[in-house]
Amino acid sequence: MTNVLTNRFHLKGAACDIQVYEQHGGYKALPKALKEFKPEQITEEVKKSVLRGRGGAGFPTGMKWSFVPKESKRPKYLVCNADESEPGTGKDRDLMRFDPHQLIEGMIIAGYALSSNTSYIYIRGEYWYIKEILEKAVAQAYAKGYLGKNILGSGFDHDLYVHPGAGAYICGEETALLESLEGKRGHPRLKPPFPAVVGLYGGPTVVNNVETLAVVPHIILNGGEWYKALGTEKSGGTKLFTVSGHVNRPGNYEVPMGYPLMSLINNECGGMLGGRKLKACIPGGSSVPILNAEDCEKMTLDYESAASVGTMLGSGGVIVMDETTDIFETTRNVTHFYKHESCGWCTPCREGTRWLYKVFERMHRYEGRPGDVELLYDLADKILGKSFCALGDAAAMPVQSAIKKFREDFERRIKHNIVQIQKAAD
Amino acid sequence: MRSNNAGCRFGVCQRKTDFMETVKLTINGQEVTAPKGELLIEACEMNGVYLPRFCHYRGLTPQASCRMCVVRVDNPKIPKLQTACTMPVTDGMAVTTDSQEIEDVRAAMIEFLLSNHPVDCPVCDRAGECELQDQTYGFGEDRTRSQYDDKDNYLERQISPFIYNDPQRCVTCKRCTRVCEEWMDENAITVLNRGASTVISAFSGWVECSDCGNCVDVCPTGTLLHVPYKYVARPWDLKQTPTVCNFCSDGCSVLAGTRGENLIRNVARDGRGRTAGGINHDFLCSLGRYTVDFVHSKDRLDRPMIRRGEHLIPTTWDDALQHVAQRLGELKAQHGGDSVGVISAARLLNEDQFTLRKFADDVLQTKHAEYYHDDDEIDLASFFRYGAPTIATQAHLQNADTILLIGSDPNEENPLTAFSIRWAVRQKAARLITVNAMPSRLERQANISLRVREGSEGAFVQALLDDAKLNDAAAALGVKAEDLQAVRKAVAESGRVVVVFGDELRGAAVEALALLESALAAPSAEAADAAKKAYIDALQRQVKSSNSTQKPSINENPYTYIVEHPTLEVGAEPVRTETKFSFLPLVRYSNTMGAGLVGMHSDDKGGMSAHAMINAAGGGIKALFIAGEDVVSKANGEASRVSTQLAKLDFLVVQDMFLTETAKLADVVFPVTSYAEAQGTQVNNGMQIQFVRRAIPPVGQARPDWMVVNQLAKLMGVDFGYQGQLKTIFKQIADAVPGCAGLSHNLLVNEGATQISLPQPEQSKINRADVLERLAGQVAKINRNVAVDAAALTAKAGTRLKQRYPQITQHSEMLTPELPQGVEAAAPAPLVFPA
Ligand SMILES: Cc1cc2nc3c(=O)[nH]c(=O)nc-3n(C[C@H](O)[C@H](O)[C@H](O)COP(=O)(O)O)c2cc1C
Ligand code: SF4
Ligand code: SF4
Ligand code: SF4
Ligand code: SF4
Ligand code: FES
Repeated sequence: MTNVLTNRFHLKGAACDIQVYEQHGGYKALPKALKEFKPEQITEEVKKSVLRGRGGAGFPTGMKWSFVPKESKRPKYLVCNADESEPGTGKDRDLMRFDPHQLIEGMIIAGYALSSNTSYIYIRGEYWYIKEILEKAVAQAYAKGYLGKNILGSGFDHDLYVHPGAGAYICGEETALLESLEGKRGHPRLKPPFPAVVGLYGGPTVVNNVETLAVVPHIILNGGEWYKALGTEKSGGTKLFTVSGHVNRPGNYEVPMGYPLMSLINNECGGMLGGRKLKACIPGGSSVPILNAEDCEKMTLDYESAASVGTMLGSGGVIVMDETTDIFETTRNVTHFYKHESCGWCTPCREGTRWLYKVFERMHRYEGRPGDVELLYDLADKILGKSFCALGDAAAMPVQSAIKKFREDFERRIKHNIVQIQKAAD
Repeated sequence: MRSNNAGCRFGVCQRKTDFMETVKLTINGQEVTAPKGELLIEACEMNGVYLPRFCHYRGLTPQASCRMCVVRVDNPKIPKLQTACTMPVTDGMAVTTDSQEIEDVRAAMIEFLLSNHPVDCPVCDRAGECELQDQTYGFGEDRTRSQYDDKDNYLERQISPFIYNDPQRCVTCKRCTRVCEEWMDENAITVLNRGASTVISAFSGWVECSDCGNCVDVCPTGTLLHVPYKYVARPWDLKQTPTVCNFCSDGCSVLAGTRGENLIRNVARDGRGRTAGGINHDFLCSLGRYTVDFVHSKDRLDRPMIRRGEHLIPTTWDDALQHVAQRLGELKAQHGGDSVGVISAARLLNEDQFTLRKFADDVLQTKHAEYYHDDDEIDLASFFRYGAPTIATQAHLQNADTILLIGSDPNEENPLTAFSIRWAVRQKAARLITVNAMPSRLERQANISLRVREGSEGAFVQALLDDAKLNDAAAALGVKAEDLQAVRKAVAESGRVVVVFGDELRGAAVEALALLESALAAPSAEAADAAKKAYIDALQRQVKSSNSTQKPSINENPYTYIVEHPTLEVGAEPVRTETKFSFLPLVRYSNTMGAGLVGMHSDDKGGMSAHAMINAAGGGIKALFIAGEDVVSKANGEASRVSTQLAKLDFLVVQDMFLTETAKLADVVFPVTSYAEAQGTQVNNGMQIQFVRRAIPPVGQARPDWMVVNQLAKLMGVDFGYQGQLKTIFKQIADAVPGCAGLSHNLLVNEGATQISLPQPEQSKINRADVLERLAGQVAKINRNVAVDAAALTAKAGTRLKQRYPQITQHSEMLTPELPQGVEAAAPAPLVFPA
């Protein structure tokens, strides 16, 4: 295991205290950044690291930062997306509750890189206890002069606020997050303009995931090249994965990019629960296409390999399912989630998820009608790529991939087929 | 489904290309042109390609939620389908709108929208003019895979005295909430819940708002319905006649929906996107829309009446006309022409006013003929003393750099003007400055709002005109001198300034408006542009202090977002005026301007005003002929005095729609037509002359006002030469009235609102010193010890407009609607949310 982001996790949360954090190598990157780097140089260093956003889309972070215009009439903002609501994902939670200062240090440096004087952590409402940890840490950082006016005598000012969400998955989508942060209803915004140009309160804004920002101090301390070398050529560095499901040791694990998926399951997680056979795995949170056992053997944990087996790394929530799992039921559960969380803005997602779920419900009662599997597939098709934001796609992809790979689990739910199956059994 | 050259609904886009930069693009292989920056969906429509849509609505912020308008952009190549309602056209753009792929998406969206729709068209009022029906026919499949038995059902419910809501029919396009926010600044309705449970609702169950009904008009489906129109008629049974509203001086066009001989409803736009094509685009206010029922009130007079002792007895037209002709003839012979006075209501049409004036001049030979106006109405004589300053239309307002609102509350008195002001501020970053004693909702959008002492508004004009008197004016107004200075600076550096003023400006202050043009000279075009740019920048910078609770910041009220999307403007071409200042006098009645214009006033003949005539009753005045005005009810606490005066007359003739308090005192009462039955022309506060069409035949035996007078004249031996034709009257008007030359009914029917231009004031004729001195005298009289007290005035606000129209306050049930049985205002039917 490579410990970059998790190298203070063994302190079991003691690093929440600023002194402990400093004793363990904390707040070394910030003075270095402020003294030795110009803002653009930090962005350059991040570009060298080939760090890609850990929030789901995997957008190159350095490039995102460079979209922010240098001159702006309105203030620039940095927003940390800590809304972590993707089913199967809990990495940001541990990053914040075991090592909040790592994130804060990363945000100050990122703020400096963007010449932004204000940043926000938008944290999932259910993480209220972590919000308290963060607020304490922020207060300590202010007390030590890492936040506030003229940080460490550099002339750079930065304020950081922690803002809780109110329990909507859609508020993890960056533009809906900005709406919510502004005090409005959490609906995504029309893009373009992208937040980097017109974001929070109309000002240029960078939204980054917790993990993305937490990496920044390490890049400053050890260099972009060093970080990149930890992973593969195109997917640099390490990444946290939250493993859940039928494994012996579920939890958060940091592994280098390019690490085989099966090794993660078999080594870090101690293998399958009860020694049962692997049936399926969702490698990046509920929104990404599901894999069957065969795909899992092939996949390594990096963006390119994920694409090659037709899925995505997403949020890094690895959901492992053994042979006892009914993929129809897991997909129904996932669809219920998206139906519940659709914000209602656009037609395909609002009406499509409702309809999808209705079909799932009747199939769940073994009352599926002939053609229902095809209907599910086609409805998902009519959502995919037509919705206003990516939530619609996230609702459609799991359904399509599950039908493609585990069609028999679906067919079993069609009334007509049940009769046939029973006949065959008699 | 639509005609090939549907073009812009407001009929101005074709003209738009004349003065705007255009770009070339390719739609389905065909090269076309479109105005630069235009939205693709509009550009397609201008070029004969109609794209289906629900959420797109010209002039509302883009929404991109229904996904009906998707197109494939081939150049520049974009991998995903794009929504045409959010794409500005660019030069060289190539789009495909008719491929199989796109047709599939449209059909899929329709299938989605219908998947939980009740499809209860047979009992839906919108059926027949429903955009969901139309789009389904045009772009959907004839089968659906959804099952009727597992739909989430909702109860229908009434959410306001005027609005009925059936949530299940909603396509969540949010036109309604956007209209309420962006047009009305009411924010009275909102979206509740999330995902498939999303519904449109009031915040507290019952909508508290100005009841404009615009949300209902723009709703593409039967989700929002007009309560008074519920289950009353089918759209295909209605004849839709474009005509003009009668209830304020703005003069909105309405589509009068009639069935047989009945006026059923007024709308600004029906579900087919048809509008009356007037100056109000798709806007109507509560009065214009909902006060239609008085037309068929059971109280309407249906026969002439004649006095027999204590009683007014129905009689025949011949009898009544004969009697009046005879008595007026006798009185004229006995006491001379000047013993008879003629009074008209300012809402009567030009043809009526003109005929009444002719009647006074040629038949009665009296110099006393005037439209009824109160002393506290805008003094138009002073305003026009030196000629006519540029009069502002709604288009001027919508394109102004700075709007100065002095007095009045347009929200209450001239709702369309209020809409245009909001529009200008929101869409064009116009600077709004309000100077008012009474609070107004428009202040929320004001850049500077001065709450002044009641009756001191004249001092504001003085402050603008005379720098030296600024401190004194500030004291009189009860405001800070530096605030006045800021206003003066803003006005000085603006390019186009529209001054909107109400009754509060009096005498010399109104006259002095003519001096503004020379006192605050126009900056050069570059300087004006620079000032406007600086202002927009300043707006944007305000974001920084957005926590300030003092003023709505740009961000909370995101005007500047809209400035960044200039394609949102309604397609009105910028109005270029010769002068820097233009003026919008908020006169009280729909045809106050016209009445004056066609000469229905005594000024130049040395006759008496309407009030003076009433006061002289029994003295110099022996008989009165009152057309359409209830002078008793209007007498502001002096009703009994006016009644006593009228009782002193030898002879009183009243023609009206109702047996008003005044009519009750008359010797003869003629029943006349309402605005729905009348035809002719009227002039709004923007000096725009408009054609009013007859929508229904006269109710009962009612006759148009002009016709009654014309018949009387004939009986009294004078032929006006009308040959029974309305057109001929207008021809005579056009010949007689300056500014109307060359106009005709035929022209006005096709042209819509046409501005009458009058000669500008001759600056050389104005005695500046004299005007300023009189103004100073007026300001000196202001009692500076009176507190600037909004609270006391608030009580007075808000009812003024309705008070002006006894016919609707007394004979329309819609303004005081009785709730249907079982509906209680406080507790509307609960919403049922499926799990
Ligand atoms: C429906 C939806 C939910 C999302 N939820 C999250 C989330 O909870 N946390 C997160 O970091 N990103 C989330 N994202 C991704 C963000 O939109 C955004 O891409 C990300 O915060 C950018 O950060 P990064 O560049 O560091 O990945 C979500 C996206 C969508 C479409
Ligand atoms: S896809 Fe549409 S309905 Fe779904 S969350 Fe995004 S905007 Fe809302
Ligand atoms: S009637 Fe007018 S003010 Fe009332 S909710 Fe509808 S749009 Fe808003
Ligand atoms: S009520 Fe009508 S206008 Fe409002 S969102 Fe629903 S369909 Fe659209
Ligand atoms: S704003 Fe005036 S003219 Fe327009 S509908 Fe209302 S009352 Fe009629
Ligand atoms: S009209 Fe374009 S998405 Fe609705």
